[in-house]
Amino acid sequence: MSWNRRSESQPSTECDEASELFRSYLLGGLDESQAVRVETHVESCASCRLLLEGDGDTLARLAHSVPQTTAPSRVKDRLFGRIESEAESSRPLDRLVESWSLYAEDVLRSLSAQSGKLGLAGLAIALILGGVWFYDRLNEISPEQPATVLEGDELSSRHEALLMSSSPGASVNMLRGTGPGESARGLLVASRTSDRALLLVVDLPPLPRGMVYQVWLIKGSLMHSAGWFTVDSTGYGQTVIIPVAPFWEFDAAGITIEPRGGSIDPTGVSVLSGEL
Amino acid sequence: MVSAMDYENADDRQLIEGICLRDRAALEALYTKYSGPVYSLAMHMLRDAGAAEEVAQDTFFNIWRRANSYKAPRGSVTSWLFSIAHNRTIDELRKRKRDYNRIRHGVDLSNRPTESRGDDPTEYAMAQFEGSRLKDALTTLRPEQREVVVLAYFGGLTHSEISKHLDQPLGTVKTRMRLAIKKLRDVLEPQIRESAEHGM
Repeated sequence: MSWNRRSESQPSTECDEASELFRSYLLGGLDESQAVRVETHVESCASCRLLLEGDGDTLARLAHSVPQTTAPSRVKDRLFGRIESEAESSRPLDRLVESWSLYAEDVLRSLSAQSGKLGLAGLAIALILGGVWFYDRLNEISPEQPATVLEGDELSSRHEALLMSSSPGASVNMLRGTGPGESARGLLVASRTSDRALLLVVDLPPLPRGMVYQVWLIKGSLMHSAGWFTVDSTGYGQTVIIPVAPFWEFDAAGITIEPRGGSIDPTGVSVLSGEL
Repeated sequence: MVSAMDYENADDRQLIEGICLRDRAALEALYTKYSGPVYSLAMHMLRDAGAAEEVAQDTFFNIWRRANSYKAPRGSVTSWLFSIAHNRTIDELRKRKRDYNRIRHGVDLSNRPTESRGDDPTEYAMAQFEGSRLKDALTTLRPEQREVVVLAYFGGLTHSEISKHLDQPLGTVKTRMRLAIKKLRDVLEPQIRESAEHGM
């Protein structure tokens, strides 16, 4: 179930229902599914977004106005120690992630020169085999890694995304380039057993500072932002997507060029798109 | 990468952009600016220095990890940052409530917490509210509106819990909350505008 946006021709009851939940949302009083509903509605409704922003600032002021005291210096020491320790311990895994990504990139680039179902099927098989290979390597090193490595959200996101390509319910979807990204190719790997998907792209033009590629998941006439990313100097990029609803409920995906930080609705030129 | 000095005059969104690029100097600048208020909020709600330190550390660690998820069109950086801190504090508050209830129900009577919150959430939340600089703003609210805001914000209670505690219908609680936040927004708007002009 979702709310519709407020418009001149439409009664505002959906917005009223959503705005009833804003304060609970900002106060952390909603359960996960309700919070997702609020976020989905706000993505597509400018007037509610404005209302939520105003209430958010009011509540931030509440937080800022309690009697002030200084955090002990050890908090900062521990914070940066934790960041340093995570960076140190993640390096072996990062190398593996990098090697798998390079492999996937090679496969994707080779497919750019081909077309048709055979190519896509070959790509899916290659990635699945690659994912199995990667997972084997990951299992080999996991027991030797400090616990923090496996508890890290970022690394576990990568871990899960890479597992997708080797899971039985995996879906591999091709995105094709349009406009300035005409020669680009993209790949969305998703699994029915996970709420995440892995996006890989090749041959997208590097963007000027302040601009990003934004991912959109499309369901009917609604476009849901699914995050943004940049590419390196060779045009390669990758990101993990956590959609607002199960991945298989969406009809299509697209990528547009947007200002850094992302846009509420697509405003820039489309560079990649494909059906899911 | 730029040095910490380069972030001295940066606004909050520039700091988040720097953090997205994994620049620790940007995180350090954000930490310097907001660690006090974040720690103070947690300390005010939890009344436990150790737990407040954990909340402050976790808040900025999450920002380091999830800076990419900040969406500028949805609100200011301060709104986002304090919602992370507040949610983390509420998690801690609820965890403690569960632990406390377990103790009260006889699992371990010998380890009753020394900093007991008492049995009455209203009493506890009001205690957090006392001495707050917000008192002036909150006292402009009707008593029943003030009660729901204090219970929700400083007491960490959900609407359903407030409804049960006050023995009022859920709809009534939601309406009081909506009117209270609207009123607070009107009262605090000049302060928020002034802070925005000074780059807070």
